[in-house]
Amino acid sequence: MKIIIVEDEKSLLDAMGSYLRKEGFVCEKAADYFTAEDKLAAFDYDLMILDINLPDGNGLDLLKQLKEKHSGMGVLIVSARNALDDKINGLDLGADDYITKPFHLSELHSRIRAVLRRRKFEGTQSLQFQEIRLMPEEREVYIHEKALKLTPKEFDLLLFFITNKKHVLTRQSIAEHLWGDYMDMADHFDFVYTHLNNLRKKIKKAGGKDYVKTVYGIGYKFTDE
Amino acid sequence: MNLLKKINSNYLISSAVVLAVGLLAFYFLINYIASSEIEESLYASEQRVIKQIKSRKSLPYLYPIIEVEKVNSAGATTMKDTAIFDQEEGEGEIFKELNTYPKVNGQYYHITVRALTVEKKDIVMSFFMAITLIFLLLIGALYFINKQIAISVWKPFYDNLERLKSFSLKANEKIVLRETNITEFNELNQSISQLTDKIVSDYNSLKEFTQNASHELQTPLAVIQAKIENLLNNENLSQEQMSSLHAILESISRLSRLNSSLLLLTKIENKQFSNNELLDFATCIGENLDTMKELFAMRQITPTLEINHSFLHNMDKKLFNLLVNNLLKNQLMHTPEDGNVLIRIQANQVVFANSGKQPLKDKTRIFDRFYKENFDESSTGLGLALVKKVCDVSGLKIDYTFEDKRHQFIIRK
Repeated sequence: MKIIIVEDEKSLLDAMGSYLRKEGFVCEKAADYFTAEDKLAAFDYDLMILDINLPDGNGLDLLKQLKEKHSGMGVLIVSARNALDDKINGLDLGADDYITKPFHLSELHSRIRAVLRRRKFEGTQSLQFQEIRLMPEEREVYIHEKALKLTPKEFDLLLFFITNKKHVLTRQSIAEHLWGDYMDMADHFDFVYTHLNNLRKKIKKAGGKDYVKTVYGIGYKFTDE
Repeated sequence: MNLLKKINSNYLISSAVVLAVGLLAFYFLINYIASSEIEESLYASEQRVIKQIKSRKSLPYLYPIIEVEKVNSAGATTMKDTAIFDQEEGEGEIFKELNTYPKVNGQYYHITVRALTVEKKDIVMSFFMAITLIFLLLIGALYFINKQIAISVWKPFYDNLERLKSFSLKANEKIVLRETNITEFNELNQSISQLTDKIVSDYNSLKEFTQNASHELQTPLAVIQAKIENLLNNENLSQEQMSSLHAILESISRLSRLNSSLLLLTKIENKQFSNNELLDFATCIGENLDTMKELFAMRQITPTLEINHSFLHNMDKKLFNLLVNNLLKNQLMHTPEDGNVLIRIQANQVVFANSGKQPLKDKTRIFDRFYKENFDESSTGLGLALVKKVCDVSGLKIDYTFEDKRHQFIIRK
């Protein structure tokens, strides 16, 4: 899977690059409009992560200009502005999703996977983790090939875990993933805990192993190690 | 009182004063002139009588105009008004009377000459009336002309006033004022144009600044957050190091929330949300409540939406959602488990009520920025400030009360 990251802030570019490379992506980096334009003209990518504010041009122009040539490419816009105008403009111009700075890398990764799934890049449409098989489109989960019934939030939580397996997920990033803007206040740890507990119980009951490790005081990690 | 009325009434009042003083002076003046004319004519008549006596002709006698009699000694010359019964007309008339005692040919005479003052009075009165009439006509005509002139002269001023009133910073349009041939107005227009240009550019740079500041802040925050999240996946970290990193993450998230809330407040203040539409509070609150029901359920709270009447208001939908979400979040966070949450919609008000133990400590400050009832670290202290700001710009009023062990936020039109 080939991704191009267009972001003028070098450190952020590096951080995104190293996280995504660990997830098995091939990442190309472009720190300005000119470089991005150049690379897009020469190579094909499956997905572009695009910061709208670039020192030498507006990311939206790049999007407008390249969407015709690279119609199969997914686009995820990253912006510091949560101005709704940008969001609407970006989505109108053919971007697949929009994420506001600052974001959790795990959230970015989840969004990328979702875009790629929607664009059918991922080949098989199911995610396998040991005895757990998850069908993101159909929103179905199988343990040892036996269907498991989950609530929408539990399903989202499991998908988030499996997408970001082996990574430490803070409770905060989980809460924000599940509830978005509604969770910008206190107490979200209780909410995460309740859902997580239910999910663990259901998986165990269906004969699955509990892969959720608590990282004390911080969050959780989904791992079989 | 508007400008034209003020000018006109000042004009009328000052004209009336001038008129009164002028007419009074005029009256005394012509009265004095007429009196002295009569006196002069009496002296002239007396001289004629003396001439007649000197020529040794018969003593003239024409009652009541002229009376002459011989006397033994001279008396004082007097001038006085006297009333004489006129047999011809059958009524008393006022005469001016001159008494002199000249010595003609060695003999003293007492000469009395009289003139009717009624005549003088008539002349004075008719003069006075004529002048008054002319003055009044003049004032009336001038008043009317002045009024017309004032209206046409001030017309551009009023036009420009209307344009100023409809001027809006948000529209981002230059103000175009009507040109006139009056120097002062043109100067005023010029000053206003300069002033508004300055305001528009200041406003734009302020807007740009807040947005840029937010952008400039969010990017480094994103860098810190991403770097720390990468670090968290490092296997070699001690528990202590992990905890420190997590604390940093928490603070970043708080900082970023503060930043975006402040930006939002500024945007609302700048009235950047103005897609007004008529909203039915019952339906819209219902929608918001649905998305939060699950969160309430996790705290064993079942919110009740009680619709007694429709409550419609014209406002921006985004602002409405912000308002309702913040109030609902407030209820979610501050209702004890198994407590009550009630949203009641009435004809004149919408009440967000939830159970609580005691009223908030400082009612006057709960809507202030950064005011916190208790030192809750995760709260930004901006939620209710946002609520208040939304109400302010949307033509709504919000009040807090505590009744029957319930916190109540009441929204009225």
